[in-house]
Amino acid sequence: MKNSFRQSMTWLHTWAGLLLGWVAYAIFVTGTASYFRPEITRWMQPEVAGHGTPIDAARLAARALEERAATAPRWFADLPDERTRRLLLLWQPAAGRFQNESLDPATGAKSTARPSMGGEFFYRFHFQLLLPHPWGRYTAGLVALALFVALLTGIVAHRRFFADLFLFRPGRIALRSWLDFHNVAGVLTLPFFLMISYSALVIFHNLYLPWSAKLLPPEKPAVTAQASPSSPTAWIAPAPLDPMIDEAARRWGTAHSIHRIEASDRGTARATVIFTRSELDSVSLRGRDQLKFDGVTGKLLDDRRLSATDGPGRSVHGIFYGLHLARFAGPLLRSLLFCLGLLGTALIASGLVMWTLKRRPKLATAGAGGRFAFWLVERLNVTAIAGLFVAIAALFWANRLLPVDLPSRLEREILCFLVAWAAMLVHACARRTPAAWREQLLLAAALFILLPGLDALTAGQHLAAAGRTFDLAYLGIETFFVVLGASLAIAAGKVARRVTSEGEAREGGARSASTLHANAADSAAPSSPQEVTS
Amino acid sequence: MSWLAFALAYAGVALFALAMKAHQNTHRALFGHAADSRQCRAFRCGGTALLLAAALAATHAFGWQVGLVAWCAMLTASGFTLTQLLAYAPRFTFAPAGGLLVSALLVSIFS
Repeated sequence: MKNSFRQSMTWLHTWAGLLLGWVAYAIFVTGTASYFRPEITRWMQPEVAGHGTPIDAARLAARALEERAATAPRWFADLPDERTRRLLLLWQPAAGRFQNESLDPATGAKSTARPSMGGEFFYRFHFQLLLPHPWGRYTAGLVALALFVALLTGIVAHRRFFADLFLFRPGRIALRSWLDFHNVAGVLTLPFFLMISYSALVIFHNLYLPWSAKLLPPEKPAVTAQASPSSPTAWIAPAPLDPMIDEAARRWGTAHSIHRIEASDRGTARATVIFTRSELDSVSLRGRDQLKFDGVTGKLLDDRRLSATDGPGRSVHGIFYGLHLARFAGPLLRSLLFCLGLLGTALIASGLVMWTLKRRPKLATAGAGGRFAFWLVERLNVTAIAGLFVAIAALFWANRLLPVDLPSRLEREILCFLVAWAAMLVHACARRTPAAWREQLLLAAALFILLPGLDALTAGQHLAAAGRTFDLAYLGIETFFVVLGASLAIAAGKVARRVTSEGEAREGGARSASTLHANAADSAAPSSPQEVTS
Repeated sequence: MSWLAFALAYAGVALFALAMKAHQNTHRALFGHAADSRQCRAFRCGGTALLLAAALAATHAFGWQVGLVAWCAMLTASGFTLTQLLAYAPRFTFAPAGGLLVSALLVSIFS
């Protein structure tokens, strides 16, 4: 039994952290990448060259929808902006399911870009984990909950971290520096982590707490019944969209402007057209402006903020949703949040590695089951932490190497990701731990560093065009590949050095004895310094 | 203005570090002796003032909603930068605070 509050909390921190740590790590890596979802898409679909203004794109969308689905009761158009070079049309025919089509945002012609999920892959993986519908979101919710628990219990378990704030002692003994890093990163990213894990739970509150909607009184008067998209008895010609687009341009300007157009109940007397503006200046996702037009006469009915009629629950939900997605963040703040995401990723990784470091001294006396569990955790650590980067690099390589007109190319890119990750699991099982760490980190480093070269060979004309127009998204990603690769190479080198410098590591073991966190598990560590990997 | 906010945040956390027991070695290297309790209090007051000023600068740069988010992110970023400098280049921990502040003030005056 755990005989003190702190020991119980430490126990919970250890096991919640370990069991969901691998998934949490993958979710964190992909979530961090999702901060730059449109930019990743830009790199993975280099053929999409320009984007024009949202107003021009809105006109193109209106024309294209008229050509493709003149009698469909519902239309949607997602318009491009400075970051997103995508013009997505969605329509629901009178009978049947939604159909969609991507257009080249500059010309309005059918998009000729290579089929690829682009940044959307990271975004979807982040909360769906490639699992069938509700299960990915349930798993992600469980991980968010575990992360939240691990945070709160971590504050108790690592209670010294305020006294040791800003303190990082690298290179003495492995556990000491990992623990220092875990503490420093933990306390510094605490606000970010709390916000991210809590908002993750809030976003899908309807999925995780479906009963709340039944128990709580509704905040909004019931919406007038949504018309079913059945075919209307007599078609009433809808008003053309172009004058409405002009009106939106007059009110919102051309740059930070229309984000989405939605036309409902087309062909009936109730037809409406709603223009939503892209959000930028407010944290809440509900802080967006909307224009509502009568779909038959084309008259402006309403100009308001989405949040104008929100009750407290919806407002709070909108704020946390907005905080999580960080659409409000400009390039500078976005990069800063990206760095926080990386730091959080490293925090989870250091916790996972520490689990093995602390248990290695006791391995000699462990039973067969304990030894197997230890072996398994080490393998999964290598695969989850280092192997994921190999898999991501493989995805980018597949994006450039698979022929553009390959059938089901989009799925095959993802298959390459999964196959590479599985191969890393096999590799981790086949090799000794230090070698597995070093080789996978080096492989990931090489793959990332060589990516710009591969890009120049396979998509040279796009790279050259990006260089001419000083396309910051494209060039920034290329630079980041190299930086990431170099960091992975340094990490691989550190792993290698630690394996060979046990004598040096032995110094300074004594002074850390009093400050090592937690309980009995620490007692063996200072006298027998353990390497990260050996 | 966001540059100024970061500079203020960095100077603030650096002052806090000077007041901490765990970093008295660094204080000794800079001033020849450990900080006494009066100095520690002064460092903490100064640190608080700088962090509040950073919050003001951030809200001025981004508006209060986004500014508060940016302020939190900058606290983390400056804290992590400080940690790395204290670990790997302790002599160059506090000079950048001054340099950053001066450059940020110049930038915000002339832009």
